[in-house]
Amino acid sequence: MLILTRKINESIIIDDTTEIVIVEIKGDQIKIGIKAPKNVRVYRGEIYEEIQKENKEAAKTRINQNLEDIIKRKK
Amino acid sequence: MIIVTKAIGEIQINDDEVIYFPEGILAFEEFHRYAIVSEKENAIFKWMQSLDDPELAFLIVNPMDITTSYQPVLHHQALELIDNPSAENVNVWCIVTVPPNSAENMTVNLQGPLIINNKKKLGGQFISSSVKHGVKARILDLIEKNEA
Repeated sequence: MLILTRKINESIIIDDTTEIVIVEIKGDQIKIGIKAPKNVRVYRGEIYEEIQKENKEAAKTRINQNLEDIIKRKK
Repeated sequence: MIIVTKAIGEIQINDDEVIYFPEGILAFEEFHRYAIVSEKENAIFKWMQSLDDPELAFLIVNPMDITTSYQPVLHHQALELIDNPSAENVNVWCIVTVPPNSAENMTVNLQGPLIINNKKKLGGQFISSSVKHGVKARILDLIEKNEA
C-alpha cells in the first residue's frame, strides 16, 4: 500500500481524474473531500464489508417454517 | 428451461426470466445469472436462485411489503450498471437472512438493495448511503412500526 503524508488542504490525485483532499482534522476524525468522475462509486469501507458479510450469512438461509404465517400473526 | 433450485426443487422458467448481474452481488461477484422463483405466485418471500450454482440462492422480499417508508439513497449514476431503467421498469428487492431455529428474528438488508431493470433483465446490488438503513433490520419490528 502506498502511504503519503498530507497536511490540511493538501490533496492526492489518482489517475488524473480523482482528487482526494484532507479537509479537516479533529482529534481522531479526519474529514476527506473526494472529487471524482460521476461514474466512480465511492463508499465507506465498512458498509461494503458489512454487506459482503451479510450476503454470505444470507446465503446460508434455509426455511423450515412458514414465514408468511409468522408475518400474518404479527399483522 | 428447467432449473435446479436450492429451496424448491426443479422448476421450469422462461428464457426471459433470466436476470443478468454484470457485477454479481457483493461477496458473490463470480455469479452472474439469477432467476426469481417461488412456490406460490403471490408469495411475499421469493428466492433469487443462481443459475450458475444450484446451491446458491437468496431469500428476498419486496421492501414495500414490510415497511412503507423505505427509500434507498443511491448515487445518481449508480444505475448506469443496469442501463438506467425508467421508474416503471424498476423492481427493488432486499435480501432476507433467517437465523437457524429462530425465524421470528429474520432480518432484511435495507442497506444493500437489489435493483433490477425489468425491461433489460439486468440487476445489481447497490449501496444505499442512508445511515438509517442497516444490513440487519428485524422484519417483525419493521412491521410493528408500520402498524403503530
